[in-house]
Amino acid sequence: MELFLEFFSNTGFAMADYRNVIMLAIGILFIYLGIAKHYEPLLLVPIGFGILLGNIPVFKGLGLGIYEPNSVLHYLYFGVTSGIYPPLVFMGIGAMTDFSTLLARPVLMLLGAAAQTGIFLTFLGALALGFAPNEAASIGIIGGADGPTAIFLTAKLAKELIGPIAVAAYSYMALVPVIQPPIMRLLTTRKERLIRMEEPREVSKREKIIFPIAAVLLCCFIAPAALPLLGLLFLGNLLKEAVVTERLAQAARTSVIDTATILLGMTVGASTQADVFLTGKSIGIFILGALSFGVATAAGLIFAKILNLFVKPKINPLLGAAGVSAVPDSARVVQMVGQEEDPTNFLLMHAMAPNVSGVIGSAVGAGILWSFIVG
Amino acid sequence: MQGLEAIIYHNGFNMAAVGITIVFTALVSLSLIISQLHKLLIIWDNRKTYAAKLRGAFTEQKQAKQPLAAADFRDVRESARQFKVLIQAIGEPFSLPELIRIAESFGIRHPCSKVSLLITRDLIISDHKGFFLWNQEAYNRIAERSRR
Amino acid sequence: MQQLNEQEIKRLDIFRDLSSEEWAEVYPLLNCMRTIEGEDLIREGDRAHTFFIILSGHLMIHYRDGRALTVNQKGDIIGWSTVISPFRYTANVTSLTAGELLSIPGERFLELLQGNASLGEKLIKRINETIHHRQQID
Repeated sequence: MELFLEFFSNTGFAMADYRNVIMLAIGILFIYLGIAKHYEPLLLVPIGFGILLGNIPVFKGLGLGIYEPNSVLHYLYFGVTSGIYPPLVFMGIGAMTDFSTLLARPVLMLLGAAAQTGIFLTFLGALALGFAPNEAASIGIIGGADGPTAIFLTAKLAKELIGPIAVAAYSYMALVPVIQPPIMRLLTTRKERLIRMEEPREVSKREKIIFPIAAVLLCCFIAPAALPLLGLLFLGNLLKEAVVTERLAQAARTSVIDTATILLGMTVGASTQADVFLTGKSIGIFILGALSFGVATAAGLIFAKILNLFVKPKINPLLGAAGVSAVPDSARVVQMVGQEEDPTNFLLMHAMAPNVSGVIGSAVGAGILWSFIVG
Repeated sequence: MQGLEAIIYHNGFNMAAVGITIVFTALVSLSLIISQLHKLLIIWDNRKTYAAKLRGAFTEQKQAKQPLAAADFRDVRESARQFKVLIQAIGEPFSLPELIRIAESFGIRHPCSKVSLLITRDLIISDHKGFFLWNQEAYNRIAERSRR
Repeated sequence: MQQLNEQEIKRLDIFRDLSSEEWAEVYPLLNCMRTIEGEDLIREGDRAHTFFIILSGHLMIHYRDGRALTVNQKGDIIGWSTVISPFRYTANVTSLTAGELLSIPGERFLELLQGNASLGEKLIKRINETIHHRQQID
């Protein structure tokens, strides 16, 4: 009996408390949402499973937990804390992304810029709620609607908040089809939603090759701190467009990004532990995260309406909502809302332009915040 | 510290304003470059043409008096002589654009208009399969005329 | 730039069947342009943006595999892909000599043809004839 009790005291059952149970339930919920509901399964499943791994009670000192120096999880987590995984994910994204709609109508890039207002307004909101500047910057970047960017910046500025920020960012990205449409309908008129976009011009191969080179040079000269993210994003895109490096592009958009996503999601999930996640700060992060998505969407829509005062032909202002860089979900939402008014109005390809511009904008925004806080 | 006081204390408004300005600057600059890129590529592709147009603009009057399509007999003979040698080198049937490219690389001036002249004088004829042949008979007639 | 001689142009092969009303719809779309020796007018594979009619000069139509043919007759047409799917140029066109062309913006030309059945039929018929009469490359 004594042996049994001794054995029992060394098990997780004995070491668990109610907070572990809550976190395990959250992990299972994420896995359920990912598998059964198809909400961002490539992210929520590894994150959810990581939450399970990170919240199973273990003895400290045996090199098991993610925060213990010699543990396997800790070594894998190094890719998050040192900012390695997010740029690798970006490289894969670049190798998958076709920038031709952006190249055909460069003015749509400004919609992506406008949507990044959400980052900085959320930053102010977080400061107002009493968060420290480094925490506020990490929370603000949720408004960029870009998971890898959010994790990258948080790892640099407020490591302890990676868990709730990553969970908030990816949750809201999955909820884009729920969050955006009401705002889009509220801020646009029916007449505006019916605007048809002009057929984009054909973009030559040479333009598609020159673009990533010119973009990385320009953006990183303006915001050098964006180098890790934008450098890898545009490298991936160049590998894709160069054709002669198709093998490398193929690797970037399959094995590299998948490996990075698995390790990123799992270790971020494992780092999300009760003492950080189940706090008042997390509630603040979730509220601000929701607000940031709303503000970013609204900013993009309003800017598109302002732009219509100056450009001809007019832009469908719904495209402003696609400046939120949840690629390609927000572009799909634009298509869906546009088609509610006119089923023959195909906005998806046009919406991809501000969508991918938002990715660039959020990376630049992250670099700027990083340089402000650290500098 | 919370609220406006916290924002002001941490210089929040300045950071937000500068931050959004830099994001806009980066993306506006990038969009400006992209919007001109395809035009620059067109200019680059046609750089020789534009250079020729520029040179042509200074000698427009002279060109009006001596249109390229009009050529005297000596031009035909000289062009025929030059291109005969080239065609012998590249073999028949030959690709017309390839002939022009080679002529240019050998420093033959106005290869396009010379080829046009040779075609209109039937010195270069089509094989009706997209390639071209040298018409030695026509060349012999020109050579005969020049001896008289 | 030489003023367009309306009567001369109306007598070109492609336009000769048009009624006055139909001609009144086409004429405003026409622009005159000059070419110089060696100028690349059209690139194979590009979206077909302009329809050309030769007034003077000698043009070379050539393909990536080296095949080519030349056209120099007044009224010859270049760039019919503006009105025929898949609306991409199927050859490169280079000007061998200085010359003059009529140009019509492809999209507007296509809109015109699609909007007026009788006009469209007449012009497409002429375009088809020109294609068949031109030297065929196997």
